[in-house]
Amino acid sequence: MQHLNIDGEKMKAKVILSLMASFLISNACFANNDAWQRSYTLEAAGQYIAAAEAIEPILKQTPSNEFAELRSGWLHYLAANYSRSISHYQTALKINNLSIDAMLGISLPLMAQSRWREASRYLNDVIKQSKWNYYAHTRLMTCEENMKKWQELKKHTEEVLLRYPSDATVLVYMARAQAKTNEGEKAKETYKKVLQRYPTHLEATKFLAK
Amino acid sequence: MSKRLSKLFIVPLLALLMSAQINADEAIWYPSAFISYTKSEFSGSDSHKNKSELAAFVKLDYLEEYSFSIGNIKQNNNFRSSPKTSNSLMFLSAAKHTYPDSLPGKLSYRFDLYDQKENKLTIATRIQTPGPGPGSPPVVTITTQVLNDSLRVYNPSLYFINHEKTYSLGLGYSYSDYDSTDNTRPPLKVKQLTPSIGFAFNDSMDWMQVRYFKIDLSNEQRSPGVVGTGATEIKWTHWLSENGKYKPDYIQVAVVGGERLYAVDADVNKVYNFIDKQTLSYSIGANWKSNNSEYFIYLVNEEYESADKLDVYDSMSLYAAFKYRW
Repeated sequence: MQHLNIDGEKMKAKVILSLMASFLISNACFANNDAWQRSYTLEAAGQYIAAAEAIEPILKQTPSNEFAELRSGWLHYLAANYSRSISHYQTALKINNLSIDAMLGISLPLMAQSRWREASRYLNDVIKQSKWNYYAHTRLMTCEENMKKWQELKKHTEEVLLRYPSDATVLVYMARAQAKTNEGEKAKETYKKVLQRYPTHLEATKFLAK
Repeated sequence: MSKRLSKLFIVPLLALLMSAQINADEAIWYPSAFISYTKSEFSGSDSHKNKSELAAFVKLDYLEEYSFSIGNIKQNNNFRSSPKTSNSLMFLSAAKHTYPDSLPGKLSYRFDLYDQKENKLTIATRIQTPGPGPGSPPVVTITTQVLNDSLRVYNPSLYFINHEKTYSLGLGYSYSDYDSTDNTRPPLKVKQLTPSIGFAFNDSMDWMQVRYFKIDLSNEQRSPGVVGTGATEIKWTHWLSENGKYKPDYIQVAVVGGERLYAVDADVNKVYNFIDKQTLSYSIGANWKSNNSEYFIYLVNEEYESADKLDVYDSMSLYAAFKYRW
């Protein structure tokens, strides 16, 4: 009988404990959801630092929250805290080194700091996993342009254009590379194609008016 | 010391070059080589005839975070009435590039070291005596001697450029130590402060850089009548919008007004270990780019004046250089 009583008390304690735990967890979840909500609202209002600060308590939790790192990276990039943004994306990559989100994400603050070589490395890593990823290719073109690798850029745009034949951005990079490699006539033809896709494109209009 | 220093840098640099993943997507080390040749002819000088300079540098960049360079500058000097001299200057450099969020751009710390065990200086002494008759010009008798120095230059600098590359600020300091190895003269210490400012205009197709060279000399016995000099350099670079077949990537014009003696120019890795004062310099040049190669050609005219003001002359130089990036 006593044995049954002890078991009953144990059971009661377990139930109370599990109720308390679920209460605490749900509270934490609500608090977390609240933090996310606040962060999105602040981002929409253009308050990027405050939006990043709103999710700081989640960043301090263990185990590390990959999404919180990615979002902090993005918000600090928007706030022009490029080094801090890079550091969050690097942490996200430590958590998940296959994250295309993080690789594409980190390329943005690196490019903002004119670190074209470092950005290229991450973008090439994306391309290894996702061969014709549009963002990786177009950002890599920006890097090649800034490193003045005109021949490489020209070849790159030709390859990408086969996959995205309607894209005006790739055509603009192609025209710039052609203009820089003594292919003025070809550049004109390419800019004409840009105008077919984007009739008010300023750069193409200016080039063809020369 | 110079050999030891060069070994210290050459061995790891060569090892890095060998292990550099050249031209691969995964590359983190980016090597480049630079070679230049300068031929200068002096006109109007009673002692200097011509000189040539061959310089070679190897640079290794670790992404956009660190840069290391090593180089050697060999100089041959020909004189009108004294034997020719040759000097060889060793160059080492390390730079760290940082991107603090507190600043809107890149801040680079750089340290350059120039080392020369034997710096041969040909010194001309002039004695002016009255002419033989009334109205005849004075007679100048020149005697020359070659003196030996050792030379070491420590050149730390800070450089900031904003992310948009529309302006830059720089501050360089150099300490040059000319030590007489034949104990014929007291040592000479030269301190130089070089602030600079640069800015872009015309949609970033043009760049203007202004640098000031403030030079203090420690020993008037080694630089008669001069304890310090000051000079301002204005350099304009214009990028050409489109490349034609032989059209340069950019053209550059520079003028240095004021006086420079024993100056150090970190932009072109040049140490003016020259006994005469530079009073004016102007240059025009162009750069061509082709894939991984770059070519440079400059014409430089410099005006010099000896300490006794009896030798005022020009130097016209043709500078050609080639750079290759892997």
